[in-house]
Amino acid sequence: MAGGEAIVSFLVPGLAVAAVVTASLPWLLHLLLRRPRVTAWPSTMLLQRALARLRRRRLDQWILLLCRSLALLAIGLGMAGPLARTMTGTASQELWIVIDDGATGAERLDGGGTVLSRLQEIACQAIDRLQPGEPVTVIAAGLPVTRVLEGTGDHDRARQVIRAMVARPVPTNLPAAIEQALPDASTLVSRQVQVLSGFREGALHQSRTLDPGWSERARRATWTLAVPRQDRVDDTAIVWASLDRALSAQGPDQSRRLRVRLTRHGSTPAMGESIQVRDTAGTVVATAQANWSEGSEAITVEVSLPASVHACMVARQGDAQPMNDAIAVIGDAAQAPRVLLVGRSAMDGALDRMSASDWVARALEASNLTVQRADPAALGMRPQGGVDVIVTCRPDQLDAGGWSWIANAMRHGSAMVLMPAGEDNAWWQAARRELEPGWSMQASSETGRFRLAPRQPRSELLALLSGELDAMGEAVRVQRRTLLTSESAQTILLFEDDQPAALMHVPGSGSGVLVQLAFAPELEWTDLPLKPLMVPLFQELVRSIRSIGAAGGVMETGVPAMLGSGAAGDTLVGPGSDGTVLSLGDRGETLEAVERVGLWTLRDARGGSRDLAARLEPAAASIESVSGEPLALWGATLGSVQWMGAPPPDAPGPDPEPSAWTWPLLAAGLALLLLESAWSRRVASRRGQPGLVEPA
Amino acid sequence: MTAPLRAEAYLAPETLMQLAPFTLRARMLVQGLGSGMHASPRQGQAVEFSEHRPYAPGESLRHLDWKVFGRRDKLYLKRYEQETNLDVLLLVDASSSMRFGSLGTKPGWGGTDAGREQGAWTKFDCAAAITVALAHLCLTQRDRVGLMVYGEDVKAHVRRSGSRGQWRSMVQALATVPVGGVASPVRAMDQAMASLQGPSLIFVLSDFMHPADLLRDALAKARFRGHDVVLVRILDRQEIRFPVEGFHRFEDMEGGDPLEADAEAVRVAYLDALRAFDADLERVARGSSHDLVRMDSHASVGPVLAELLSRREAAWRAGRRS
Repeated sequence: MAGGEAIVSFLVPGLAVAAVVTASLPWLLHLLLRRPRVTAWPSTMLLQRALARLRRRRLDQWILLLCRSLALLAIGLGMAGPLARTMTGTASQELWIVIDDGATGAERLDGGGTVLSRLQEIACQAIDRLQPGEPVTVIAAGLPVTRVLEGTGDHDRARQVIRAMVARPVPTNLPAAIEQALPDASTLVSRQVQVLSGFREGALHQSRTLDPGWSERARRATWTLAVPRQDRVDDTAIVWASLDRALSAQGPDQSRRLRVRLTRHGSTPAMGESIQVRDTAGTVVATAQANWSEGSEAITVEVSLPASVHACMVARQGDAQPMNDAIAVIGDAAQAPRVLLVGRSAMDGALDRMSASDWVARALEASNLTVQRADPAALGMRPQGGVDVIVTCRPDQLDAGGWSWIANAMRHGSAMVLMPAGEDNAWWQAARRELEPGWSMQASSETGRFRLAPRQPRSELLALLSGELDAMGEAVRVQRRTLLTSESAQTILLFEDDQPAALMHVPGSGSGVLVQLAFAPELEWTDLPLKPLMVPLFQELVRSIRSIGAAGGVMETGVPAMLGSGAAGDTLVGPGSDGTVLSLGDRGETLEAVERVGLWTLRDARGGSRDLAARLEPAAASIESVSGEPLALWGATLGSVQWMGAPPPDAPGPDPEPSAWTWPLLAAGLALLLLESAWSRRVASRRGQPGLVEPA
Repeated sequence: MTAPLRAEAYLAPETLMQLAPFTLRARMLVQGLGSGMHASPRQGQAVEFSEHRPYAPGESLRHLDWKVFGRRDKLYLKRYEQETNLDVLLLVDASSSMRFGSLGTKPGWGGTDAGREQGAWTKFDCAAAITVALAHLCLTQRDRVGLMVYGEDVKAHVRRSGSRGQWRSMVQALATVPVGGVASPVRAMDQAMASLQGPSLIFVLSDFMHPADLLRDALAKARFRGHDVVLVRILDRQEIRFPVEGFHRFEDMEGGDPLEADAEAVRVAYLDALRAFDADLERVARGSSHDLVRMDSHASVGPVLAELLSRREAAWRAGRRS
């Protein structure tokens, strides 16, 4: 049937069946008793007269019977909570299984197996209950939410697909999966949806609420949810780890500091545990002991690593949730930072006319940094690839294309040092629009006699200069500056009058780092280029912000990697030996989601490589129990929700709200009863009281 | 070889006892030939004093009441009412509908063709029992009684007689007459009236399962001819109360079209129709000053007949007083 025909299902099918049976009983009896018993009768004359008189009365009786039956039917069906849907084909129903294969599915159960394996059993049992040919659709709720099996009547295949699923180190997005399972107007068969998850905190972390606008569509399906897991289990997680930048990539025997943050919940006894660190080759490069005191729920462990380790995997012994027992860590890259200097050089080479870009280039010369130069006006037309740090000396000469390229690079991990140029700061509007800096800048620069503060802030960015920064800064004079007003930025250099001389900010829209100076490093603005601070300041700035930018190159699992247009055409090679290779598109994005945690390698066409860490968001792996409130709210959207086994603890079972058909049906039933009452009175008054003839 | 008839088996002793105090009275004056207990229109030759009337000159002095003349010095003639015997004709319907019976055969009952075949106490058995009782009563009070069993035509006819063997002949006829076919009461009454020479008492025993208007002319004719007709309507209790349940195909025993009906649904309407038809029949009977007796075939014959006789005797006495 191409067009499909309307059918109805019910929230309380038993009531509907009872109503139909009750209403149809008189009709069934009538049909069954249609076979007359033959009876010899003296004369049918009186019967004929009776039937003739009864003809009108029989019509009345039929009307009354119809009214009563329809009233019973309407009231019964109304109370049963009808849900309208349409039907097509031969299948009477279809089963949609939303199964949580995200990180929380890896939770180990006491009796063996995992939460996911238990859910797989439940799903297979649901399939066993189907009639042959009834279609099954399976949706994996782990990111990216995927329909892993389109509706098929091949139940063996469905079971195979479900059994082949494994818990993935990705967040779960149950609402998104439920949205995929919502029936729409073209859904023509009765749909059962089973939402199978442990409903731990991690499973609801991504999204906890259902769109109330789904309500109408949701009520066309029957929803069954697995009972949320409420038992409290002990779990320790590595939630964060950072690798300090090497003091010098070429320095001998320098060590690096790895800091690992661990949290635990459940019982909190005093105990010790071992933490193991492996490098990119999988070799154990360090172990450390984490000592928990009784009652503590979080500790930070510091581990010393060889300076050559720029990326590593930190792991602890697995427990109830193995997905949060390891984390990938990225430090600064092994190869020299690639710096793009955006500016123009002075033609004659006279010291007093050297541009800021010339001075910066000179400052960076005596390092292992790879410096390229680019004209600001041509940046938008000939974008550079593989840049770690951008030093923009002439922002006033950047066009819109240039700003856009910089913003894109920033969003994907590049760092930038920005400095004013010229007297007019009109360029700031474009910078503010594209970069979302955490400060504001005065429209024009001011002149005067300014000195750097004798005691500079202790920022992590310039931590390596430590006390020398104060001494070297004291000698610097500034005769022209631009006033910066910090909004959410960190001050890394300070004038004597407490005005910021340099600010750092990590824009919210990306993982890049932005540093702005209040003056340009050229003699028209300051004598800094002639001072000893110039070289270490810029070298450290570049290295530090590059390190932060590289560490920011952390990919989250479950979503495609976005590495920026600088990585366009590169390939991303997954950890381990399974040969996962993801190609990057024109904008440096992968087509598929990253689904493996660990250290990935980004390889460019020139043979260069860079490590990236793929991490599972720690909260997405949480196996703490959830209060019943979110799921109770789900019930309000999904309508009547059935729970497998028992109602969810703390969750007041969702109110079985009457469907849109309930009240009309109940009203129709009432109207029919009133009609029946009026009609029967009319019939009784017309008939009068029958008298019996009792001869003799 | 058929078993010899046991006529006594057709008249129950209790019926006899119940009817013993009564006499069967006709409403009309009877022109009988013999001496009996019924008033005759011919006066002067009987022994029963009727009334006085003033003497008119020229009249015979034979019936002058001399005692009144001696006491009051006035001339009165004595009038006498002749008492004579009554001709009673019992018309019994032997159509198929009379074969209906929902009660088991009564113990000690001699049986009829219908009852024996149905293995039940049929309406015809009930009619036979009433007929036998009435015949016995008539013969006891020296009336002449005859029997006519009819269907579409007369099936059996026992001519009027007051002889000793009359009752046995009637019982014999009732016990053996075949019961079946359709009934034609009008023709039967016509034939009956043709066989009667003077006003008679006619009992018609039937279920009257035909339109009451059919009887109107016949009853009017009977009244015109001076006959006193008593319609005895005999119905089985099932017909009266219609306790049938379920969906039935009702086969007409007289060959009419069968009907299918839900008994419960049709019950009230049926009983209404029965009541209406009964009222029609009574109206037709009363319209010609005849009598109607309703009989439930399951009930005993004696009380119903006793009530009828009592009623008629009371009416007779009231008539005499006036």
